[in-house]
Amino acid sequence: MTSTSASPSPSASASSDVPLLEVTDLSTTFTTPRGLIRANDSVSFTLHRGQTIGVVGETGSGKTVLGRSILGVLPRRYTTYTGSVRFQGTELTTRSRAELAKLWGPELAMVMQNPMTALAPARRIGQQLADGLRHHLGMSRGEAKAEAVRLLHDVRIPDPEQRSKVFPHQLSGGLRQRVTIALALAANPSLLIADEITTALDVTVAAQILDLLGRIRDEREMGLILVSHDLGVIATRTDAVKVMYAGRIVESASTRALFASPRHPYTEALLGSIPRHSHTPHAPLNAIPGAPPNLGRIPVGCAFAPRCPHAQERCRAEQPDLADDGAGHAVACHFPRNVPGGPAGAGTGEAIRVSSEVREGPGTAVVSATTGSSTATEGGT
Amino acid sequence: MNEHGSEELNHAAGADRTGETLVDVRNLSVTYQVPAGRLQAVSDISFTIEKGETLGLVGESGCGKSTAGRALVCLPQPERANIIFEGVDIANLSKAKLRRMRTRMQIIFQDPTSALNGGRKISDIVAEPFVIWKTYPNRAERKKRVDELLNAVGLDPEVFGDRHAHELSGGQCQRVAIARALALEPSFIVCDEAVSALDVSVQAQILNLLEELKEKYRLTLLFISHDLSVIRHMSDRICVMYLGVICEIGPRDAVYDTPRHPYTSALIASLPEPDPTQEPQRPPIEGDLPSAVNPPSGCRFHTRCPRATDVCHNVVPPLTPFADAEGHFVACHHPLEPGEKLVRADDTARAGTASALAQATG
Repeated sequence: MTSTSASPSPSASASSDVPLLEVTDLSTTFTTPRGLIRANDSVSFTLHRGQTIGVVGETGSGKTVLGRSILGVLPRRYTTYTGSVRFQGTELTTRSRAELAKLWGPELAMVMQNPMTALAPARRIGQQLADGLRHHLGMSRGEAKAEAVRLLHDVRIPDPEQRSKVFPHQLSGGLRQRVTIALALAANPSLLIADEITTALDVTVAAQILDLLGRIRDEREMGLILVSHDLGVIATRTDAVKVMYAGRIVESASTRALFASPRHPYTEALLGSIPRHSHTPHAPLNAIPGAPPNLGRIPVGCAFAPRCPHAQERCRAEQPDLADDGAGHAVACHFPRNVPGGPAGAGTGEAIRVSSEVREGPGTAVVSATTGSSTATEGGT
Repeated sequence: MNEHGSEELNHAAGADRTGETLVDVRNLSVTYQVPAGRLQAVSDISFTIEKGETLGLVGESGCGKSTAGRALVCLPQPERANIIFEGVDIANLSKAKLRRMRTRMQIIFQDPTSALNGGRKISDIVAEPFVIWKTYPNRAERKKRVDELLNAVGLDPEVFGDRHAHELSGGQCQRVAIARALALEPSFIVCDEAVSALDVSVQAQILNLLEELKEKYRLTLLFISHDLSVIRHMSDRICVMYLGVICEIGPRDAVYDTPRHPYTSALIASLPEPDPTQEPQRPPIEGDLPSAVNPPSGCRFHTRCPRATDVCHNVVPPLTPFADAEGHFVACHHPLEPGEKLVRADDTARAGTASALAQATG
């Protein structure tokens, strides 16, 4: 590695023939007392070594379930998987839990949002790291202890020798998250899933953690899946992005293409709803009316149609498939935006008008838009 | 430092702006007793809020911004401070008189679902202030007023009035909390991380709503958030806090575009713009917030500040005015020049460290 920066590495995608991870038509369904909930619906994507894929979506979009489905850590009694997850060419969905458990650590690892619950509260952090090393790599007690200190050094924890002897509660949030990253990296995995790892952290600390993760990815040539709801994080730290809505990938593109010309109205609206540097203070934001749907009551047709300013009859009847344009930009929309030669996009002004209309007539405006679907996405959230 | 600072602050704020002062906070300190000792969450801060403006209060967790916001509406009443609100010192008021004043100021909290009683009907929640204050004793009039309020926050009373709070989404609950806060026609509302728990798409709705209502009801807002881009969007003036003290306060554009305090600059630099064509910057500061139980001596930021010198270790920097904008105050011994970027302390030694690390990881 020549660069120590956390910048995405666009060249990394073509580094090997067999992709690190190949997810095809993966659906994950939970059996609940209230019926079936399809948390992931026909999700497909490919990840190569050294590449970072961002998964962005709001609460309930299925982004966390996606990470857990890939690892196979969801409770089997209530979970049904269909489709395929191939890791370095071998199928994971058909493996038993015991077989999968052998891969957790040396091949597949995950870092969670809350570092306090991810660590055992009553064990010293050095011991927790050593446990994993002895189990997975068969190290002796002494070797594991030394390796644990080295790992803490790797994640830039100051004074690692001393810090390996403390309990998790004695560390700050940022240091704790570094420890969970060290734990995930202990057995040198090829794939790391980072699920909202900076959400619980302060901005100055979050920047440090993301920077660290990017450098470690480069050093170890890992594949990285960065799950986040923060578009700023996704824009600056990933090579490609999957936008999820109601359990499905609605748009998939290289990070640059996605942010330059978002094609799904949801992506476009999401980008318009955050106050950017270029946005005039106090000027109305392009809010999306309504709220994300409940996964147990996903509307017929396109799930975004009840909130979409461009929805037409077809959107409320027929679910659009994720279609690739041949250049790697895929979108699941009957009437995509910003497509060269297609209907004019960049509906910034338009979106403002639509959202203010909805605000004036709450309830009525959107309720009428939802006719024909059984969802309860009332107006004016 | 503080008495002097506060006088100048008031003077500067009053001189430039035509509007009158609505809230005048003088020497506010709040201390909590915690197992590890006495935690001073807010240390002797002074500032003013003008009628009709939005003051944005920004900082990381544990900087005292929520404590300060709550102290302003006397939740609880601070022990030693003067908080002059509409000409009355509410920090030194009897309980009964304070209770009367409470109708003039309201607070909206971060988690809307826990701020509402999930088992109650929305119309009852919004009508509660009228029941307590025995305004609108006529049932029909009260209902009319509740419907007005629900309409004002974008909820159709026909659809939502009879629903229970637990049936509503987070954004809808926040709208109800706002309607309830507006019920007694307050002049001042504290929004304590009011949109932080909401999804991005819903957050924009609530921000737009707050702007709209502020205009309509001539409100003054104290908008507290950890999110600097939201703060910039909502505020007329910005106040940056770190470990219980004010680092920088001033007009929005002065603070955001030409930050003078290294911490403000670091906060802005750490915020990723959703633009993939920009290279992610190396975080300009390292480390975490120190403990507020035992805050660093001198300038509280000196442990993380790349510009810190001996004087920063020993002397508390006073909040001093800067000439670039009226009412721009900075507490720093080594302030940045306008447009100057904060440079990491280890930037020169970086190449060496990188190769050493590469060797270590093998």
